[in-house]
Amino acid sequence: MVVLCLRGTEVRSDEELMLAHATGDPSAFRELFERHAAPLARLMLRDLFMREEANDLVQQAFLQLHRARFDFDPKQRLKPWLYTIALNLKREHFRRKKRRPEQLQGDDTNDGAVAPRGQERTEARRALAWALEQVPADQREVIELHWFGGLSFPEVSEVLAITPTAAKVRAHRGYVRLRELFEKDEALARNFSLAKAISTELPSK
Amino acid sequence: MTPSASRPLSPDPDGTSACERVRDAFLAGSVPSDPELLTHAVTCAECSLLLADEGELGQVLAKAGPAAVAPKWASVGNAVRNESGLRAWIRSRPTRQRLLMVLIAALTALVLGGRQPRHDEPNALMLGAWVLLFLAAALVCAALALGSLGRRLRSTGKRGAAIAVGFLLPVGYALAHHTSGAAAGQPLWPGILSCFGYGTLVVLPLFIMIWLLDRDEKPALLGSVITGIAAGLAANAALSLHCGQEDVAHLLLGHAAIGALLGLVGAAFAALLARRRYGA
Repeated sequence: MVVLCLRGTEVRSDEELMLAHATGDPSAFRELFERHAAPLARLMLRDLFMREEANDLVQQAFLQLHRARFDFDPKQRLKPWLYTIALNLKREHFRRKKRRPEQLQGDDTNDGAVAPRGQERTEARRALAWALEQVPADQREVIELHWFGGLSFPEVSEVLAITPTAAKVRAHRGYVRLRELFEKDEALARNFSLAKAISTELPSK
Repeated sequence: MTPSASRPLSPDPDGTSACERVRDAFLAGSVPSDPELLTHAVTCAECSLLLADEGELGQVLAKAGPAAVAPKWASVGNAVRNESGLRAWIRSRPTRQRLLMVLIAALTALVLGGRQPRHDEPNALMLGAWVLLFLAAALVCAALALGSLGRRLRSTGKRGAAIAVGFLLPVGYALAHHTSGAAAGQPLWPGILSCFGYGTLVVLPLFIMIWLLDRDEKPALLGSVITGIAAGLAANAALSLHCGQEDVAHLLLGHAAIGALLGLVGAAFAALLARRRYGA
């Protein structure tokens, strides 16, 4: 079990926190939530585009994690399990709503940052979201989990029940596809360059 | 370019692989310049794609994701605090215990349903095999409905297959036991309604039990259908011990249709709860 030590302060691992929660430590679950809620919300929002729905799914995922606390096996990693729960909820959500949105809607995904070129930034994001939609679902899923969910390739492979090798192969194919799209589509390439320029100009949140 | 996936990742002291460090550098707003990472990128097909053309793709991907605002702890904290009472206790049990509860409920239905045995003299071996088959299928369906394999992504294919088996198994029983003219001269509908009602009542506690054990805030549509199918399979196991009718119409409408009815009830129940939540 990994225990991180930062500046002399012992930081409990996810697995230790979950175990502590199952045995009644009231602060452990909150710590887990604060550690993982933001990247999970980011991953949910990538597909849902509606902040309220994304946050609702994140809350449901944590509630299910709480209900399953006695199922937790400390020999297994918590993060892939939490993400599996969240992805199951997201899929069920789309099944209920009978849709999977294909483009950004309005300003709901605007991060609220004071961006000098906010409209252009949104356009760039829209173009990139479109490009990701052109990538086959299995490859896109790996890229999203890796980049927006913050999972490592071994963790992605656990969530998707594939081997780490397969996860990396899918990511590679997805990257190749994205580059092809940018090379073929001039309009997209403009937004691509724009996004690159923005990413250079603006500090990361 | 060939993927480097077969190569082992180069782990850091804190366990982060080089690929993740390349990604994290992009997410931090810079193009990775650490010599160790650049060396890694030379031999890593994925990272070399990200770093090509001054890190174009990596920079774009770093900015492509929406910057989400995390939900507040308060609502989750309240929901966790509100998790009390019988249902909260029962569905927080470890999955093995939850499945054991399902097994006990199914066996209870079998014992209650078969309390009045059939009047004919069936082939005990064949009958036992069918009962076991129904029970096993019911347990698999219940496990799927409860998402007992919680560490796996739910597969629509597996759940669809479970629904198909749940419908086809009782139909198979009906066809295997059909004897033409078995019910000649006897009124058909009273017997059908009697078995249908009896079987449904016997497995109603099992149906409710699986629903109580479900951890989903709002039950999934397919999962709810499978819950009904599981109860229907248990009903068919009980009825095969109770009823010796060999008319195909009786077996299809009085026995096999129970799973279909409970599956529809489950679907309606899930749709109703989803409508309440999403207002759609």
